[in-house]
Amino acid sequence: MKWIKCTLVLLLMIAVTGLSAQANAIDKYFKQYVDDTNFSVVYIGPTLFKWMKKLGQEDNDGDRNEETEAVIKAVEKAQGLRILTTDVTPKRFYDEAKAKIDTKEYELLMTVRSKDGDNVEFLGKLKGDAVEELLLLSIGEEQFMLLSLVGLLDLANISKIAEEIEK
Amino acid sequence: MNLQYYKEHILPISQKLFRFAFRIVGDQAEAQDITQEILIKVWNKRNDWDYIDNMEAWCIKMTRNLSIDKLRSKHRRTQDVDEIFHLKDSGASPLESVQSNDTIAHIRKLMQQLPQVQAQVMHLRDIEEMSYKEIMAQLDLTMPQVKTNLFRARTKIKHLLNKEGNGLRQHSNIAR
Amino acid sequence: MDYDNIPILLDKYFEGASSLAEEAQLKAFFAQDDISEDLAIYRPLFQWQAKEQEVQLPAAFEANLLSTIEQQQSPGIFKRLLLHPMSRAAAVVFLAVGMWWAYQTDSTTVVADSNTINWAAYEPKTPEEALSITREAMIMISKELNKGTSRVAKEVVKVRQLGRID
Repeated sequence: MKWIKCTLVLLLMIAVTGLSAQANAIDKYFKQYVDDTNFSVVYIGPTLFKWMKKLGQEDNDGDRNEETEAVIKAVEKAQGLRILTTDVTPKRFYDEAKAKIDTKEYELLMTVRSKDGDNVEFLGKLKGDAVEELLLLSIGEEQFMLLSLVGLLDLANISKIAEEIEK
Repeated sequence: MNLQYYKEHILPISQKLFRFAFRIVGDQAEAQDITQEILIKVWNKRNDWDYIDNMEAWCIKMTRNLSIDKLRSKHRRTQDVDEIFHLKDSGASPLESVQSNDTIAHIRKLMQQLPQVQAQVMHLRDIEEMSYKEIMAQLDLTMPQVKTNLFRARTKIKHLLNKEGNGLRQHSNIAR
Repeated sequence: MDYDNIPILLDKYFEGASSLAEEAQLKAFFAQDDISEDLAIYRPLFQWQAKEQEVQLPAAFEANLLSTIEQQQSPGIFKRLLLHPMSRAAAVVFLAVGMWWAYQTDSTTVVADSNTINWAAYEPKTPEEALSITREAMIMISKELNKGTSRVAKEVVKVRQLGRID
């Protein structure tokens, strides 16, 4: 009987490691939020990013949106986008989430506070000068959002997106 | 006898569960599947019935959890996305509401714009006519939370209706 | 019925302070045809409430459900077979093989490990939708980023060093 157990364990291990093994803050610190029914979860994986690039290249309405182009450029090297949001006790989840993050691993890049009390925090997992993962925490009156963008990101490209809109 | 109890106490709740599931997932066929799944689940847990204080609350909770699971793995509409990122005003455009002349479809659409908890509280109060205490039990909320969510939900709907009303006086008189 | 207090009840309703009895009054009032114009704007809301209460499961639902349950009552052949000790071992082997096969053919299968997140289940179904979501997310990030960088000089310098913003 023992050998059957061993086979099972081996199969489980292979199956598990075969799955997306990207390192990201959510897998590391926030697994329980993914299972929590209070949270909505969205994931965009590398395959979808590739397709998006192709989509952007096709002329849909003949109207090549510069905004969209800027977005596609910014996510060129993106591996995964994970978004978790909740409208249930958002402040509590926000405080809880902040406490979990190891600030040595995820450095606080910037805090943006708006007049109506909303807060957005940018944290980054840095590899030298480059941002390997961008982690964003956003708290408002009604909603808490956790966003993780994994991949070698150029913040300058991201910044350009909003500039395209302003034009 | 278990089946007897089931028919007398649990089956009568099925309509409420169905309407609640429908509120969350927005699709009648799916709501029906969810209701069936929950009722079968309840049957399968018949050994636990004696330990459950509030059968209705238990059923509603399970319905809510399953409905939200199904909703999450479903196709997300662009409108939801806009609302999450606060980039556009998530009110339905006046043109849209004129086209959906059906009052029910129209208000349902407005309800879809509310955050889940608010919509659920308003549903249990305005449609199932439950007391605040009952709503607290069904959704695991405190009294202040129930009141706040109800207030916010109704206020938002009022705001949306007023917005459409300005310039569309005729619409509400036509809708019967 | 006193129609003069309807506006008062309406206010109470929108403040979330009305009782069930008062709400019932409102529903009854709005069920009528002849309503003043400024009140009529809320008629759809109360009509909707009344109509939604009538939403029901189809007539056959209960019967179908009960027959499904009654079928489950008698243990099938499969269950009886499983109770035999030798077949338990065989079942484990079949299960292992099955999981292996399932993993091979469908990479979105999560094989019973509750510690790993199956992210694939949370992906949008079409690339168009993925693009839409990504767009909105990136626009939001970009706006906030720029908001922040335009404010405090110290932060700008820090971000500049890290992200090469000009």
